[in-house]
Amino acid sequence: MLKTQELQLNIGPQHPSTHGVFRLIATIDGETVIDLKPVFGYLHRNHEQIAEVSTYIQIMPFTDRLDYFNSMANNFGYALAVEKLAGIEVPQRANYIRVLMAELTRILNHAAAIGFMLNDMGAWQTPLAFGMREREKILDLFEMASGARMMCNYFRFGGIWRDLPPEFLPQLQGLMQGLPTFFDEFERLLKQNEILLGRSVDVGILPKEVAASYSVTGPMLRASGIAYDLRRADGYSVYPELDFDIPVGAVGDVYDRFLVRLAEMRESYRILQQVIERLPETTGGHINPAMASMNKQKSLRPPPGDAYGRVESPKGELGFYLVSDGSDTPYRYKVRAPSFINLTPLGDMCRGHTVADVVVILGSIDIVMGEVDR
Amino acid sequence: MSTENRGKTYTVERGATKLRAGQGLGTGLGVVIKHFADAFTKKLDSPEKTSGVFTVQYPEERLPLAEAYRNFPILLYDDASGQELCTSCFQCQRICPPQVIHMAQAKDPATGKAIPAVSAFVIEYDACMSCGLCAEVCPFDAIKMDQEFELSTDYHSGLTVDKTDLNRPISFYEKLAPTFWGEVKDGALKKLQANIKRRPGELGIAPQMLGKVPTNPETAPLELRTTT
Ligand code: SF4
Ligand code: SF4
Repeated sequence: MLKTQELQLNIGPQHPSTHGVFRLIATIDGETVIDLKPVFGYLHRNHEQIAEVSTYIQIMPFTDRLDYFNSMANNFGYALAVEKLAGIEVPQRANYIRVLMAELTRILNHAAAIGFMLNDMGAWQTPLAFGMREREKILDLFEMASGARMMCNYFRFGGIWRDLPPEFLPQLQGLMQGLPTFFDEFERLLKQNEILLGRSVDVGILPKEVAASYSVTGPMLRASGIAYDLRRADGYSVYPELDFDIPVGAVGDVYDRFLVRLAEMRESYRILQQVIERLPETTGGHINPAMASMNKQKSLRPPPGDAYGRVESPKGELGFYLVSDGSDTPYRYKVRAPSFINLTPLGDMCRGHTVADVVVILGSIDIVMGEVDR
Repeated sequence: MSTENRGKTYTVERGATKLRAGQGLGTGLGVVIKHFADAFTKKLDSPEKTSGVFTVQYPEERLPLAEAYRNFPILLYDDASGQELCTSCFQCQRICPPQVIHMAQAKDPATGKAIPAVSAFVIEYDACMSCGLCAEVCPFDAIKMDQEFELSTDYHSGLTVDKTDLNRPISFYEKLAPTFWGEVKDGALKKLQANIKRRPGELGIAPQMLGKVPTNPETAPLELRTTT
């Protein structure tokens, strides 16, 4: 019999397919991965420690930089945590605008995530260009409303920075007209593609039980067949008033993750339709009058206690844990980053696959290193 | 909270996972070819369109920026009197998350007392994260967000910008963001008038306007100093 020898292979930290500075230590036998250990921390920016010496509102722009693809979702989670801690009410209109932004974020994230995953499979740039095209349009909307494309810093405690400008809704409606065409085309382009099927079907299966034991969340968990979505489970903001379905996968492989993301974009589209319809009738301003001035925001001193605010960010459960000692800076600030936790079962998913599949499986998790390392 | 009847859970359709080779590829290529053809005939210039050319030949062609767009902070001064709106109240310095704003308060040379004007103001553009909190917190509307984004320099210290380079006339900002300035204009100018009365001599006048505008009387007692 041929004697083979195990080999340790370092992939990254500087590698185009690791989505940032991230290292994988793979033990391989020929082409087969026997063991795999993710190593992170190269992008550590001391986010939590900085937050503990910053006032509450100063942390808001820092949360943009966690998952820089979805700054609106990050703002949302952090604002929810502080509002819970300080007992601040949010007017209905502000809530609807928040949901609008969160769902636009989900569409842009999934469009780009699928594009990047296809990049990893070798479909270099074409699917990504489709996703990026729609993402651009959504970023234009963000810029119009918040002043920045990616680092939005749009949410304030008790509401949002400013109401939507008058030209926002017409442009959003234009985007909404184009989105179904995009979804259909994207699906036609990819769904039945033989190469995609060959690279993704039954690759990187994450069984239900394993996913749950690693506390994986988001599209990853739903692709494994567990219909857990915080928008339903927690019913935060105005989600209980909105109709949407939860797509789940049957097998839990890379292909299911791709399909779940496609389906979630369509569900987000449904939510957006309802939000746009109801937006003109919403009551209350864009911010709670008690918190409307920057003076109130910056001198916020929540009573001693702790609070955990979480949202269903496009990548999974994004949670912010805050402990207040009654001063103007949090005593403890902790981020539960979905990218980080979804990355932990990588070794389990990759075992037995080839090195080329590792790249695809990593791409299907949809990680952003800014959030993994914080 | 009630979540009943608001939606169901469904399993995504996997479709045929074994296909005759080339079928799916063909469908996908059809999409790509359609877009390729559209790239020669159509222009993607409104959000409802999903195909066509959307490349912009920067820097010859430029897309319009949103009014809310913000990049780096600038300081404002009054066009006519050359007086700066900033009173060095230190609010922006305090709120700036990465702490890149530095300033010194002006002192009356005769009495040594602090007056509502700023003698030095520096912002480290290289570390500014364009959050806009400084512009939001300023009670005198003296610091605003600029839309200039072509700021590259070939030396690092060129991004440490001092008062002379930060200063812009109000008319510049008014053109940039008419609605934003319209909301705060009256209050800001009223506060400025009150502050000018307390600034002797050249203090508070934008460096680039020195010599072009009359200064306040040097030694007059505070209550007699008027705007010029
Ligand atoms: S720019 Fe505004 S906030 Fe900053 S010191 Fe001057 S007046 Fe105060
Ligand atoms: S925009 Fe933000 S980071 Fe930049 S100077 Fe103002 S407060 Fe500081």
